Amino acid sequence: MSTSLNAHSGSLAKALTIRDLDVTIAGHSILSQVSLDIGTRARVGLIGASGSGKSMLSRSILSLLPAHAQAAGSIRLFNKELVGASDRELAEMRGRTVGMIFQNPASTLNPVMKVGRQIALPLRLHYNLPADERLRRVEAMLNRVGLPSSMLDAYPHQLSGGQQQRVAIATALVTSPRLIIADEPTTALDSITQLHILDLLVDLVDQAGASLLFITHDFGVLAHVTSSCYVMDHGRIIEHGNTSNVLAKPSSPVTRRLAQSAEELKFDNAHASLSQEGDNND
Amino acid sequence: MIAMNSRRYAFRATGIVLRSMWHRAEGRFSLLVLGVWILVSLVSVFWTPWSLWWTDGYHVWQKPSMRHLLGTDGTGADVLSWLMAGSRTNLLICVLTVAVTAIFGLLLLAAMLARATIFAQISVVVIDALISLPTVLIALILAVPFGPSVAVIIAACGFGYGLNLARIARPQALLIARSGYVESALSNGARASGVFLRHIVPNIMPVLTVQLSISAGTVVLAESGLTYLGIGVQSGVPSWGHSLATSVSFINIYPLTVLWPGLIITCIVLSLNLCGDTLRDCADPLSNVQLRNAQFNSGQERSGQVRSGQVSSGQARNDQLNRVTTKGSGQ
Amino acid sequence: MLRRWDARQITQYQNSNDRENIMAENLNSGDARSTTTGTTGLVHDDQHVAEQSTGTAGSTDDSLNSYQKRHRRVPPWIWIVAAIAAVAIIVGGVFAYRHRNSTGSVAATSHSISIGLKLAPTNLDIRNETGAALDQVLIGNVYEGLVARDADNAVVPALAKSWTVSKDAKTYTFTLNAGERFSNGDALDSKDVAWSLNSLISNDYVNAQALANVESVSADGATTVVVKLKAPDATLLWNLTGRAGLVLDEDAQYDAKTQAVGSGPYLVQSFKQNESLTLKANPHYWGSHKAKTQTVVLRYLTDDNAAINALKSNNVQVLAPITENLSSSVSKDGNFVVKAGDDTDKFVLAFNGAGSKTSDKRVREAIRYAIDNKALISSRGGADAMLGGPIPALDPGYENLTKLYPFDQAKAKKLLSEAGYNASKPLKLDLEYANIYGTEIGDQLRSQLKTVGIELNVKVVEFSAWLQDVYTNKNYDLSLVDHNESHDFYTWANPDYYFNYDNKQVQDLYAKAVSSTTNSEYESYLRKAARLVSEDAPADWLFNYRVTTAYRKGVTGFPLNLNQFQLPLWNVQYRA
Repeated sequence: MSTSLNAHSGSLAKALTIRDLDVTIAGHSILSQVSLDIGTRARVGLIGASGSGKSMLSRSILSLLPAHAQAAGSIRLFNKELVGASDRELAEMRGRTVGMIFQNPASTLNPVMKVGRQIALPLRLHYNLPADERLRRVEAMLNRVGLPSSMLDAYPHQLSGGQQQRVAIATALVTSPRLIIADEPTTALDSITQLHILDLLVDLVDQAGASLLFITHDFGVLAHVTSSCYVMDHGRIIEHGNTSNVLAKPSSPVTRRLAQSAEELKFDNAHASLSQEGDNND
Repeated sequence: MIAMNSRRYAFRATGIVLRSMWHRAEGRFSLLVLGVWILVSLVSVFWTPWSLWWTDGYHVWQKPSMRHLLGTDGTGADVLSWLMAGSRTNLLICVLTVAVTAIFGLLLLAAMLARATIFAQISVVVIDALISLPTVLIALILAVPFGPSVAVIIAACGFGYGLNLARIARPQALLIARSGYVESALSNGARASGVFLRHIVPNIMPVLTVQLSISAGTVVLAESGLTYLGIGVQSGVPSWGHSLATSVSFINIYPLTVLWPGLIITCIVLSLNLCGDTLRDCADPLSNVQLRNAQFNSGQERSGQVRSGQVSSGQARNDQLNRVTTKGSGQ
Repeated sequence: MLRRWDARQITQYQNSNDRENIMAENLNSGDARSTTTGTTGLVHDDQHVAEQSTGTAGSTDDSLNSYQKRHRRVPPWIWIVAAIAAVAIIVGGVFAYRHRNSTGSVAATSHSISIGLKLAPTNLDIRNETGAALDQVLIGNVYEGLVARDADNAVVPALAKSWTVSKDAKTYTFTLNAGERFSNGDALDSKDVAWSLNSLISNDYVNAQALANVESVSADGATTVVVKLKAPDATLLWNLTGRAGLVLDEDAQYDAKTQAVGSGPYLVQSFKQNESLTLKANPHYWGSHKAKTQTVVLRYLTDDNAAINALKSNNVQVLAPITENLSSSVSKDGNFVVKAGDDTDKFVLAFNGAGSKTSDKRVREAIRYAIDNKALISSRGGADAMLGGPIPALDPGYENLTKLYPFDQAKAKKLLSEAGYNASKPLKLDLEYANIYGTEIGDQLRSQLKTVGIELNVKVVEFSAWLQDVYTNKNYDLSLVDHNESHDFYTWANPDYYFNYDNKQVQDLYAKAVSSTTNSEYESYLRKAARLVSEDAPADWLFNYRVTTAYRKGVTGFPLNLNQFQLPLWNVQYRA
């Protein structure tokens, strides 16, 4: 975690810079005046209670909002302005520059597509690789997320939740994007599996030298993964700073409440680290 | 290497699907009937017991005999030969109609799922309006400028069934369009067309299979109906509808000549419908364990890492996982 | 509760133990029969427990299990009995209904008869509405003409009891019967005749062109009518047997679309479009053709099978026409008579005289040689007659020309090769005809012509399409039509007709025939012209359709010949 810097220090090149982002859907304000920075190779957290607008923010970065949503402000991804970018430009960014991991692995995998093809999809969409080279990369990626090559030909429903999320991570990372957005990737998993997945994610992101925007409602998880973080409530950023500082001295009641629940989780984490069982029960 | 592999998988999967259909009574029945249909169609291209051009005015409406196994019709032509030759016309109509239905229906479905909501709404309304047109009326309208022909049947039925297909598949397709994996695919940079072909179409396959098999059955019926009305196949083109239409007015006196084409049409329609149902179950990897496992196993052969199935692969997986876990927690 | 359950478990355990013991004992004693009785007895003793031990209880709550519904199994034979009973009731009901139905109509037939016909008239206005269906039912029944046709298509007296023709054949003098009356009681005299014919000409009513040669029609006294012609016209008398010669009441006021006032043996009681026309005996009828049956109902049955069913169920006693091929189901039944009558329908396979291929006489001749007319007739049931030329047996000028072009495939092939066609360059022709004639004829012609190397592409189309393509635009190779009119040789003398047949000699002969002053002269010219036409092979006259009529035994006096043109019904009777 040597690269974790204060996101607002500003001297380094930024992976993502969001300034004064307003998003409205059918007249309702979803996000207002959101500003956020992620440095290269930084792991930044975004925390908030359910419904605070975290997921909307993650989706608005790549314009994956519903068709009738309107965004104003500025989103710069590696100095490329994304607000108002064309569909083609956005499609080129998605999966190539930015990889996304979603909350519920069971629904993010196409039930009738074999794992190998799912993982290969971003490669297929963005890179003109020979078929055997593509297969080699997919297989390597699958192995890196800790799954055997035999699972290339498995269907998603044959996998456990943890395995499914590993596949989702493999899909997001197979193109080695420079920014990974993980939107509550472990919420649907049990706490032991959660820990494995988080460690895997951090490991892979660091190995690839990518940046990470990690979205969660859980301070315990956040502390495990990120060094700096933003706290979000009702569509606004209410607090940001070093994760341990925010955790130790929360300045708003919302943050305080989230921090408290993180304390409780610490106990679980310690427990899980001691156990050397794999997630073969997941 | 990969191409060969995938081709081998395709063969293997087809074999498994057919085998699991064969193991069901209704699947076996439909496979047998459809197999005989295809076989007879092929044979009729090269050989029929009598020439189609043979007529004998002195021996009309003959009862079945060794000379004419199914008797003769009102022109003295051999009923069996005409039915055999008719099977290839009907097969052609069937296959082409299913193709037209699939292509047209999926295009409409794509239009209805368009991200531009106004376009999607308009197409929904238009489809609902067009679906109220009976197929017979469409065929009648088409037959005015083009005259009665096989193409008119295919066009009219493909049009009508395509509308139907799109409307029936729409709710499910909409659900899929809003699903997590479509969102995930979009986040990976997939374009609308890619999402439709790679994600939506494979997931509505069960509905498509059943609908297309129903279309195949219905077009056999439609062919006889339209031919009876004189807007189907042109006179002199053998088809079951032709055989039926030429004998139906004599049903009171020569019921046998109506019985044969009637029996064939009933059998074919029944087995097409049964075939659709069993195919839906047998070709779906989510419900056909054999199909799923076979593909899973073939993957193992290739990687050579794991010997048998998920359960026994647990140890290898655990080792890898443990390695990752140790690394992760070390930071 | 818990204790009770426990207790039961214990009982159950004991019971099962008991049973095992009994079984063991029985096994030991080796008496199989006592094993059975022992076990059965146990189940009877405590059925509930036995049930629990076999696992049929649905709930762990015993108080609920005791309320379990007991589905009584219905023995399978009950279903069989029920099915037999249901079938018996239905069959019995049908028989009862049929019986009632048939006795009911038999009792009512003494004064009435029902006749099934095929083509229905749109309305009854005989002066403005075209269509043979109207002539068929009204002429001779409701309306009468100066003259009429007999069963052999010859002219016989009707309102006029006699007539004389002047030497130059330009003046016809008709003498009317005395005491003629219309059905409304008005007297019918020469003034009515003159008015009827003159108004037909001056108002150009239907069939007025049949009197194109008429200069004047005048009444001379009460019973004499004088018709003066511009030129001799041998067809005049026969023309007067049709609509052109009908006499109507000038003073009668009625709605001509639904009613009719004439001098015939019947009057119109009711007319239901496309359904039926009911005729009633005319109480004021003046002549010798007095109606023998009080009420005649003409039913229009367009569907062949429905018509046959109506005949079999005695809803109609006569069916005219009945499709020859369908008639075998009726003729096998001893209650019916099926008979064919002569007719003037000519099934004409016309070869376009101006067609690119058919303008070659060798091609036309080859087609005539290649057609096996006998096979065609046989396949239709065998009632129709051979026809070798344009004039059928019932028309003046008939001659048997069937020997001109007999069925001879070798000759056909030879002619075709002379015309430059062979296996590598086959003759390809289109045959277009209306779907009302069915596909069978086309199928057979294609097959017959195929044998000599002609590829016939058969297009069976709507009648309107045929009218457009063939009749109006004359854009065809081969065409098939049933020319049913009598006395229609003029079509071959008209080069503008769709046949595209233009032969000066034929046209001259026909003109001479029409202007001839005697019947024999008229017929001999026509005979010569017809032979010329047939030799030119502008068409093949496939066969002369003969109309088949089926009627219930007991029906007498129903005309069989030409009954699709005029159907005089005064003589019809039915004795059940």
